[in-house]
Amino acid sequence: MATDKGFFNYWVVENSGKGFITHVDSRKFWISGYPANVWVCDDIPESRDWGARNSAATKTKAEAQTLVTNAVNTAKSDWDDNNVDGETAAEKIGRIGAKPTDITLP
Amino acid sequence: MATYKELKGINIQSLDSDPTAVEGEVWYNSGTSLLKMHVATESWASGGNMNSARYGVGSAGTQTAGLGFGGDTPTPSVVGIAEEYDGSSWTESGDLNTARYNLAGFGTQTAGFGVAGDATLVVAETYNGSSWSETGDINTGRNVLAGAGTTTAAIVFGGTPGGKDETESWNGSAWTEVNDLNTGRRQLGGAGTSTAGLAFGGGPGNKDETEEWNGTSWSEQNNLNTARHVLAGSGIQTAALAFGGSVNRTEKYDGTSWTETSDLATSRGALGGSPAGTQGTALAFGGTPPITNATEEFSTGVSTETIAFD
Repeated sequence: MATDKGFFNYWVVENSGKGFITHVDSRKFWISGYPANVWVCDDIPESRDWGARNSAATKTKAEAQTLVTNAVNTAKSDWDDNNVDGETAAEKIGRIGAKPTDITLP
Repeated sequence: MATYKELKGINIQSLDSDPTAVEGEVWYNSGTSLLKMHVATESWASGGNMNSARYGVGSAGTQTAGLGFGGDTPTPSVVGIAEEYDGSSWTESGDLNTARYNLAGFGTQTAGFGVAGDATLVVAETYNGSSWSETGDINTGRNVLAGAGTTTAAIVFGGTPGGKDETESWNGSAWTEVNDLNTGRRQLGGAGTSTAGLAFGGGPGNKDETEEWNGTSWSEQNNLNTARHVLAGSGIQTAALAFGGSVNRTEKYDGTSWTETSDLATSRGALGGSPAGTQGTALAFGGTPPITNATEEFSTGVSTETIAFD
């Protein structure tokens, strides 16, 4: 279990699909997913059980933030490289959405 | 301190076991010596992952009989792949005849509709549960539009280039231009039917405007609490659900106003929804960034909770 966060646990685990987060999980604790398979949960026993059940790797907040920042930077580069000849900036946003923005983990 | 009977006029029942769930019910379980109650719940849970991660995906159907089609993958590569969801897992089905993304989708898993997409496509296709067939083209080519209805009676509205306000009505054989949205927009959400439709959110920027379609014209309603674009929807005009849109926010519409409810676990935009679903049982899948194959299921219910005293 990560220990530098105070109120949250930081995990890395790939979403395995059905059963990964159950309705009971959602009711018991706050959980939010971020790029790079980073998950942030309330630091309570039920969320630690969730991490163990899913074999999630614990991270410090700094480690998790680095993973997310790197993934966002990759997404930004991908966005920059995704162009159609003659397309305006507005048309590009209409086609593929706005350029990804930085994410600061709680 | 006042007793429960003094406050409510009745005593709390003492029961040997927990009763059948009824929201708001309070009882004392004499077997476990615990005070309990039934509370309403609204939450998202993980569903089975799609076989193909993508965004700009079209959608039809419900939480237990969903359909996702088209989209853009991480390669990047625009695809026509269709997948059916059974409430647990996704299975590939017949591809769209025209691969594309940012199309409008609605209808059911066995009678789905995919309309327009890419830059200014006019093509429309219907799905019969196994394969896609081209129908009449829409009049105004566009992408990131929304739609509502069935394969025999539908509307499409909004889209880009620009922020379109054009609305078209489908009668089962042809598309006809009808009255425009009051607020032209793209990347908006849609729900409802061809005679009782709902348009919400959209871009450019992040819009919160909501409009209701009565079969003839659009009228402005109360706004979303969180302005956004590239969102998805489920339900009908008087009981709709809006979710995602590069955020994880979920809101319920009751025909008058929007109320926030439980968030998606993962923020995403350009995701698929459940156009034939309900406000209480919805499906979210795919989306970006990053491009994902994740699925989430929204459900309402009643749970049994123990009342603890400090």
